[in-house]
Order: sequence, then C-alpha cells, then structure tokens
Amino acid sequence: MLALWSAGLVRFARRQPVGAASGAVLVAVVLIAVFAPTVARYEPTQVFRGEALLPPSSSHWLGTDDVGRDVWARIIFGTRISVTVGLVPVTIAVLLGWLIGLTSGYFGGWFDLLVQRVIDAWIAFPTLILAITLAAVMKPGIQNVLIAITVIFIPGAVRVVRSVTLPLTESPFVEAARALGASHTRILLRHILPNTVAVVLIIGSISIAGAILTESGLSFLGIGIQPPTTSWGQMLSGSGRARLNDAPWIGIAPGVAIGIVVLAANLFGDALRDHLDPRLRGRDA
Amino acid sequence: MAEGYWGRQGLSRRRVLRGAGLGVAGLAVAALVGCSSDGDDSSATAAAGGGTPAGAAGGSQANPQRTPGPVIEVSGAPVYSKRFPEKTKTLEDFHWSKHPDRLNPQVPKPGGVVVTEFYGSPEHNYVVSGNQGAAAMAALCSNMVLSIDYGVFADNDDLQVTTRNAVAEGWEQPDETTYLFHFRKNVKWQNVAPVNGRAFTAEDAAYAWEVLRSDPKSAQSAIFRDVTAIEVVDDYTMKVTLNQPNVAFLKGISAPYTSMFSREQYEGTDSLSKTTVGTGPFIEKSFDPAEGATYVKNPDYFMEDDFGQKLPYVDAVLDINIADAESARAAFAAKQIDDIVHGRISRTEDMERMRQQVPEHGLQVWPPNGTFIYIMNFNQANPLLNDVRVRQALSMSMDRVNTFIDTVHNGSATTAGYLVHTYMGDRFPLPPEKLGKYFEYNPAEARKLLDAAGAPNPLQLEVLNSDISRGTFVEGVQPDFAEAGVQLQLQTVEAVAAVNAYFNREWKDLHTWSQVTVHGNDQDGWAFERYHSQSPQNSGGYSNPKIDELAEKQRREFDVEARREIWREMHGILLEDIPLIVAGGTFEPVMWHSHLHEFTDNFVSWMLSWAGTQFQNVWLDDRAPKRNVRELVDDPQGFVRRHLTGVPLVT
Amino acid sequence: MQTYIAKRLLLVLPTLFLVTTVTFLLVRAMPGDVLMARLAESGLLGSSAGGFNDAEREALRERLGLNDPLPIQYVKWVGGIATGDFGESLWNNQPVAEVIGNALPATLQLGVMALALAWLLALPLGIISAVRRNTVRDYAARFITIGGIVLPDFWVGVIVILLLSKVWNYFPPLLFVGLFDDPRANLEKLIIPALILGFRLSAIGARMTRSAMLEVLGSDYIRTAWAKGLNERSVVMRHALRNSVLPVITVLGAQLSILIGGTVIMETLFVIPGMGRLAITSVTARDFPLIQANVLVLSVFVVFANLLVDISYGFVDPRIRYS
Repeated sequence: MLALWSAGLVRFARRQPVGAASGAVLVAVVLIAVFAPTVARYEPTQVFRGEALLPPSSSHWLGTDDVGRDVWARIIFGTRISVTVGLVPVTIAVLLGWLIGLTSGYFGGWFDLLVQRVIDAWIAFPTLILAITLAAVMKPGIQNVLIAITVIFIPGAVRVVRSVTLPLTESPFVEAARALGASHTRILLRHILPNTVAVVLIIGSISIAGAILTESGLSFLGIGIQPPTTSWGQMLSGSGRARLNDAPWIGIAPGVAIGIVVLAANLFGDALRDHLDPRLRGRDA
Repeated sequence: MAEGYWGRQGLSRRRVLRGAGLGVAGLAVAALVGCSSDGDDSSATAAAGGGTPAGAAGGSQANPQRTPGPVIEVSGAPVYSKRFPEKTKTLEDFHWSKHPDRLNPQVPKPGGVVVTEFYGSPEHNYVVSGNQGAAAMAALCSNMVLSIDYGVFADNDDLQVTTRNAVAEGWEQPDETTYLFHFRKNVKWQNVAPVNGRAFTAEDAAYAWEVLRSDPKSAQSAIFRDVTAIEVVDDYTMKVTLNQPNVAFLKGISAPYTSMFSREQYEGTDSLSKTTVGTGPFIEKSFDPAEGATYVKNPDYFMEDDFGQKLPYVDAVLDINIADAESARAAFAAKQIDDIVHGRISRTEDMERMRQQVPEHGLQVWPPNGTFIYIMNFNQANPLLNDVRVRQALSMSMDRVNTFIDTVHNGSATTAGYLVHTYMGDRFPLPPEKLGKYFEYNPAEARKLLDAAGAPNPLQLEVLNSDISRGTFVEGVQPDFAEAGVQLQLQTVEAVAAVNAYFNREWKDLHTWSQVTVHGNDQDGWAFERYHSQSPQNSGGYSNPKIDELAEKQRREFDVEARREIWREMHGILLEDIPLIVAGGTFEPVMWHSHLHEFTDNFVSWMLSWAGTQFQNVWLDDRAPKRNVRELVDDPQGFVRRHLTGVPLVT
Repeated sequence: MQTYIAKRLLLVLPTLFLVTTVTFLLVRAMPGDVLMARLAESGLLGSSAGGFNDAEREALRERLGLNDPLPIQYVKWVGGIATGDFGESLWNNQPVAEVIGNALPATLQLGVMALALAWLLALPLGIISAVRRNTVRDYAARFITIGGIVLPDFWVGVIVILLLSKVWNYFPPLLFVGLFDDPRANLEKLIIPALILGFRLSAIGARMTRSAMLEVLGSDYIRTAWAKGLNERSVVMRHALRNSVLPVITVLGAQLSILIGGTVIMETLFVIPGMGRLAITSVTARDFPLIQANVLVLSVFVVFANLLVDISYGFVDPRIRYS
C-alpha cells in the first residue's frame, strides 16, 4: 500500500513538478503549524518593552509590531489558525456542496427545484452583509469564524457541482448504465462522481484561498480570531494595514504568507486536476 | 489613534464613534479650550463661575480675530516621550498663538466652498438623541442662547461663556438662582419652512428650553434639572429660576445641545428629525447618512464681523463622510478636503507624512490635559472589583510610561488623572509622580494586594471592547498585567453589541468603553457625572459617600478657587480609591490647508459639538481650489445636485 | 423553453421569500436595536439623563413598531413592499426607497465596470493558459490571475491609495457624479476601484476558463477537429471556446455575490455613495427597514442574474433539456 502511494507520488511529481512543489509548500506549512513553538523563536504574545516598530533585524527576523511583539513569531503561530481556517470549513463546505449538488443535479425534479431555491436565496444573500450581521449576532471566537466561513462557501460548491452534474446525467454513458438497470447509487458513485472530482478540487483549492482571506475580512468585522490567539488575517487587518505607511513589514509579512499559501493551494489544485482528469492523461507528459 | 477600519469602529462612520474609538473617556469632557487665561480681554465674555452679569454687545462679539492665548510654558514636553519627533518637543510651535492668522491677521475674503469631513450624524433630532453629531449639525444651522468661546485654548483655565454667535446679547444674574437673558433684536429664523424668516423672540427661546427641560424624550434634561421656571418677561427678555445654585448651569446651556428650534417644527409635520432649521449661519440643504451633508450660507444671518461684513464668509459647506483614515489622509493631501482632524493624524508618523505632503499647512497639536483618556472601567457589581485593594492592584499592574505611552502610543501620550487637571490649575503634563503610587507600575506590590483580597492567582478578567485601537491598548498592557498574575481576556464585539452589553450590564469585569456627559464643558461632567453614586453616567457602580458629598458641594460653589480646592480634595480621594483604571491621554494633532483661515476645529471642540459654530468665521483665500457652487449644482445627478437644487447661488 | 422560463420566474418568488425571511429574522437576532445604536452614537450610555429610561425606551419601541409580534412586523413589511412602500428609515425618517434609489446607480456602475474589466482580462488569459498548458506562458498567465486572489481587496485598496497619495498626491474625486453628466469625472472616480475589483474577479474567471477549455480540448471531437487538420485558431475559437462556456457562465453568476462584497469595501475606501456603504451604515444603525430593503434589492439582482445563467445553459448546451 505504502509502495503504491509513493509510486503514485513519484508519478505525480514527475508529471506535475510545479504542482508537486506547491504540494511540498503546503506540507511545509502544515509542519510549521505543528512545530510552531520550535520555529518561532519567541512567544507570539511576548512584548519586548521599548522595541515596538523595529524593522527586520537579526534579533527580530521580520521586525516587531506596534506593541513590540516579534512579527516572525506571530506569523509562525498564525500558521496554525490559517491552516485550520483554510482546511476545516472548506472541507465541510465542499463535501456538503458535493453531496447536495450531485444529488440535486442527478435527481432533478421537485428535489432539485427545492434545493435550488434555497441555494438561490443563499447565494443571493450578500456575503459581506451576511458576515456583518453574523458578526453582530454571534460572539467572537474561532468556532464561529469556522461556522461563518462554512456557511459562506456551501452554496457556491453546490451550484458548480450541480452545473457539472447536469450534462453528465444526460450523457450517453449514464443513459447506457441506466438502460443496463444500474441503481441510482451505482450510477452516482461509479459514473458521475468521478467526473466531478476535477471541478470539486478546483473549487476546493480556490476556496482555501478564499477562506483564509475571508478570515482576514472577519477579523475586521470583529468576529475574527481574538487575541491572544494570532492569525494572519488579524495581523493584516489590524496594525498591519494601519501601519503600511511607516512600518510596512507588519502588514507585508502576513500578506506574503497568505500569498504563498494561496498560490500553493491554487497551483496544487490545478496540478491535481490535470493529473486526475482521465481525458488529459497521456496527452502531454 | 482612531485608525481602525470601518469594520470595527467605522461601522461607526461618524466622528462620534470615531471619537469613542479613541477611548475617549469623556467625550464628555471638556475643555482644553477656553478663552485666554487673563480673562479680561473682552467684555463679551465672563467667567462662567463668576456670576458676574455681563451685558455685552457691539462689534467685539463678532470679531473673528481672537486674542491669543498664553503660550504653554512647558518646553521640552512631552517629557516622557522617547520617540515623539524632535520638532514637537516644544509645543509652542504648534500653539494657537503661533497660528498664521494670529501672527498675520488679514481681512477676511467672502466666498468659496469649504469641504470638510463628516460632522453630521445619521439623525437630526438632537433633542431626543443628545448626539454630538446631531448637535454639531445643529450648531451650523442654529444658535444657542449663549455660547462658549471655543477659539483659543489655555492650558490651565476654565471655559468662558460668551454672547458671541449667540442669540442673547447679554445676561444678568441678580442672585445665585436667578438668571435674566436679554436677546438681540435682529435675530430671524431662517427663511425656510415652517418658520419662513419670522422674527426670533424670547418666546421662542423659552419654548425650546421648556421642551429640553420637560419633554420626556429630551436627552438634555439634565442640564435643566435644577430649573423650576422659565418665564418670558418681554419679547427680548427671559427669566430662569433655579431651585438651588448650580455653577455648571450657564456652561450647560452654552453647549450646542441646546440649539434653538421652533415650536412650528417641533410640533408640526416638518419634523426636527428630518432637517435642522434654526437661526444660524447655514441652511441645511441635504443630508444623507452615508454620504454626508451640504449647507449653504444663510443670507439673513444676524452676525457681522468687525469690518461690517456679513457672516458667514463662505458660500457653502460640504460635509463629506469619509469612512477610512487612509482615504481621508489621501483626500486631504490632494486638497480635496480642507482639514484633517480627530485621530486621522494622531499617529506621529501619519502627521509627519502629511506635513511633508502638504507643505502649506497649519498645524496644532493638542496636548492631553486629562480630557481624552484611555480607561478601563470596573464592573463594581462584581464583589471582587468592589474591593478597593483589587482596584488598587489592577491600577498598579499597568506600566503607563513604558507600555501605554512609549510602546502603544509611540511617545505621543501622557499620563492623566481622574479629573481634568487643567481645571484645577495644574499644568500640562501631569507627571505620574503627582498621581500617587497606584499609578506607578509595581506588579509585586499589586500581587500582594490581590493576595490580601483573596483574589485567585492567576486572576482572569474579561475586558469588553468594541474598537481596534483600544484593543491594541489592551493587548499592549496584557503582559504588564500578567506579571502581577492577572490575565486580561479581550472580548472584542461589534460597536452596537458592545453598547447593548454595557447598557444591559451584560459585561463581566472590565470595559474599555466610556461615556459622554451633556455637562462636558465643565468639570462637573467629571466630578459629579462620573463619580457620584447616583449619577446615571457612573455605569460601573462606583460609590463613595465622601465623593458624593464633595461632588454635590462643588456644584454649588461659585468661587473659582474654592471650587478648585474641592476638586483637589476629591482627586486626592479618588487617587486612593481607584474608581477606574486611567491609562493616560494622547496628543491630538489637527491640520488644515493654509488657504483655510480662522480654522479652530480640534478634537475637543468637536467633541463638544462646537465645531459647527466655527464655520461662520472661516474663510478661504485665493489659494483655495476653485470649487464653484454653480458648477457643482449643474451636475444634474450627483450628490450635490440632488441636494443643492434651488439654492440661491453666489456667482 | 417558454414554459421553463415562466416556471423559473414563478420560482423566483419562493427564493425572495426565503431571502426576506432570513434577513428579517437575522437583523432581529442582532443584539441591540435602533435605540441602542442611538445610544452608541451619542455615547449617553446608561444614562436616564441622556438616552432613555426603560419606560421611554418601551414607548419608543412601541412607536417604531418594534414591539409587535414578529409575524405581524413581517406581514406589515412585506405588505408594504407589495404596495411599493419600503417604509421609512428608523434613523432619520427618510423614505427607504429614496435612500436606496440614490445609492443604487453608483454600485451598479462599479459592478458592471468591474465585471467587464474582469472578463476582458480573464478570457484571453484563460485561453492562453489552456492552449499553452504547462508552458511559460501558462504559468505567467496563472501567476498574474492568481495575483488577484492572493491578497484581500481591502489591503490592495489601501496600498493603492497610499501609493497614489505618496507618489502623485492623488486621490480620486470625492464627489460622485452621474456617468452621463460628467463622464470624465465619473470614470475618474470609479476606474481605480473597478480595476482592483476586476483584477480580483478575473482570477476566478481565468481559472474557470482554463479548466473548462482543458476539458474540452481533451475531448474526442476536438481530437477529430485536430485530425481534420483545422488550424489552431479555428479549433480553439470555434469549437473549444464555445463548448467550454457553460462552467464559465456559472462562475459569472457566482461572481456576483463576491462582487457585491467587493463593492462594499471599495465604496468604503474610495468614498463612493453606494449600496455597500449603505449596508454597513444601516447595520450599525440597526435601521431594520433599510437593511432589509438593501438586502432585498441586492438579492433581486443576484437571483435574476442566476436565473439568466440557468436559462442560458439551455441555449449554450443543447444536451440540457428543460422539462
């Protein structure tokens, strides 16, 4: 099994070098999150008296922020939150969206109509206004950040999966399977589901980026991650943004961190898509 | 440091909340500003506490050229700053008396359009709302019976009540509880429905005051709480009787919260909640909560300047709502707005950037005098926080000099006490030595006190907050408190949610929010409103019988020096009793383009809603960007057009 | 087809019913009401002297109709909308319809400009990416478009404002004027935020275009087309692009809500008097009728845009039957 996996990995890396590199970056980010205390050098909340707003130096690799905390330490510990925020809600949203989109697109009829009305209403609700009202309704905290982001990302996933499912249900191979008396479950799982993997991966990889960015937006709105917990979005939207003029390193560091992860997530998603899509196999290697 | 993004405090786009965002302990407060300290510069002004009748009249009131205030004597201040730029170390450079218009007075030139940041508020009815924003709008469009001379500031003096920009031309105080107000005979309501330019009489003033005093919806009733009768003697005389002496009364009625409004509007369908119609220099033409407001010159305004020119000078005031601080700075640098104030440039670096980008500017830096302070309020319903030892310990757990001043505020702040120290004859800055041992950082001693009080170690306290800059403040002092075994847990919530929690006493331990008092232009706003156990403003529930007694006593003491003595005694007790944690106050720079003259806006004046009244005195010189009202009006769809249609235009 | 459209139009009603109900309930779930918001504004907390005592608060709530049972409030509101009456702002008694009417043009124009710019950028980049897959050009195009989504738009907006100010002392005009009144001033005000928004949206568009194109390019009929010896231009433009339009259109629909979120931030940063800023101010003010109307109007746009998307599936992809 392990051999099979590693063989697959090697094949992936050979065909998709950029994708593999991006994957490595993502793995590195997860490792950093796990080993944050070792990598960070300082505690993220440690205030260095009289050392506020210092530019990057050997003692503070990325400088210090407006209350004298080490920006590198905050970035490293912020990785934990950003990884959680990027993965957990997106996974839930995409899985739910997949399930709903697939069944709704396949079965059609009143079920599809019902689902689509709910999704229409869901999508129609302006995201940011939704976030602002949620901000007011809920108490701030990490759980609620995860809930808010999940809520925001479900309808998009449903719609896209459904749009891919619709033509598939009408496609010759599904009709053939139906004619052969295959059950709905079998058709869905064996024939339609594999053909939606690519689009789900893309939606997922984009959403990871979106989720991390949404967290930064929520930080603004007051339902973001609360101190002393540190997140990139919080760093970016707080002093990072306010100090762009005079202490740009505070805002640039989390911006670059977000940029790297988002970029890696996107490139990895693309590569995986290319790799998994049976129709693309062998076309170019 | 109201730097936050709209998402937090800017959800409160208005200046009020922006001010609140500053952690302003008393929007309340009052007065840095006052007339010159020698106090005898004008017959039109009188020390409010003096009780001296001053029948004032004549051109001198209309004189926009004010007497320079005294230069601050402290040089080298702020003494605690390590980082505040060299230039600002001598605040004299930024003092009002060095204002170019003071050094080189010119004859004002009429015309032009002033564009400023949002002064208004999303509603008009200041009778009901008691809202500074609404009051500031009212101050543009109406007048008070008396007003406060806001133009000059002295660092150690009390405010002066004046007839300048007021509908009264003088007042008498035959005894401690009786006031006679004499009105000008040339005052007319604006030529706008429902009053249509009719004459203003004592009847009108009495009506407005009666509503403010007795309407259950009035947010200002506290100002009139001692008033037993408001009587019309004749068309131009009004008599007011109090049931007990109240030193703060005259200053209370001089705030724009008591701007004149008409019976027709208050009782009729042209509701005060839709537009402000008064006797004032500007006519409100439009109002949009998101966009801003427009005002045009009232051609029938009663005030004239020394040279016999009619006031106001400018044709229109455009008041634009800019939500974001970065946008506001960029718009100011691009000469799209004429002034920038209120936290937009309170950060030294931002101020320096503006100084470079706008070489031709005027600048004042308002030193903290104890009026704008960062505080943490105790919920004293919590038995632990009701223990004086715990309060003392918590006050000692904050490193004001290193953390609050030098780290969080980068040097542009100082320590402050419980009362406005300049009212007590103290000078800026107030050093921590004068504040006693509980203002010094001493975590070991704090821990001992906590242990003695039986507080757990670590002691966990929840701090409710709704603003990004106060959040930074709490984050900054968290490690200080941790040294004493106190863990502060910051709970940041959306602004209205925070108010809701506050109002319903749903906050647990500490709150960074603070309140306003309508008596802000007098020390009473602090001495009584904040610390008296029966005062509704004392929301933390602080109670000390001795303080109550002194707070009531200072209210009845007309002698200025004797009253100061009471405050000093109060302050001594408060410094031991720690009713709340005071961190300190910040410097507030105000900047304007040199083409804008007689601009006297500042943080304090706005907080007290005087800002509106100054626009009748500002004027623009030839360097001002050409903003033709007619051109603006010819734009048939835009903001201005929508609101300025039908305005009598000036060429 | 006509039956389908008629049916879908009919089904817009339940969607809007859901939106209005959720909005209605959500705004009422927020802590505080307009009176609290007033207190927040005035700062007269907990003060009977300023603000209100409990009896007065109740009286005011009564007058504003905030004490009615929720279903009654809801029926009143929906009934009002049915007769074209959106009510009055709780803050300043302005008619809600008028306030919304003033704010709508700026937002619409900003949105249309951003979308147009987005697709101007997205289509060519997406096609190049797909056709020249795994080449330098592909990676360059992907890096450019991903650049649009890696950073939060507020952050990009602030950097743009800061740079424009520091380098040229420039800020777009403060006042918004109509497009037809002064096209130059109007475009000068909106072009920068539209570019920022458009760049952001183009990332999603280009990625979807690329992936849809790739899928089509790998299909049998394209192989056939290649085999027939058709030139690249013809294969790409006539066969591939046409057949990859479906997912792209879907994304277009989904982009609308992102767009609306983006306009909120751009309107705030660039002082544009539009729906987004109105939304923020009305939520802060707990101005229920205004929030509800705002959400309703924005939702109507999104719902109809998505309706158009669904209908266009039928035109674009004959495999889909509408029954």
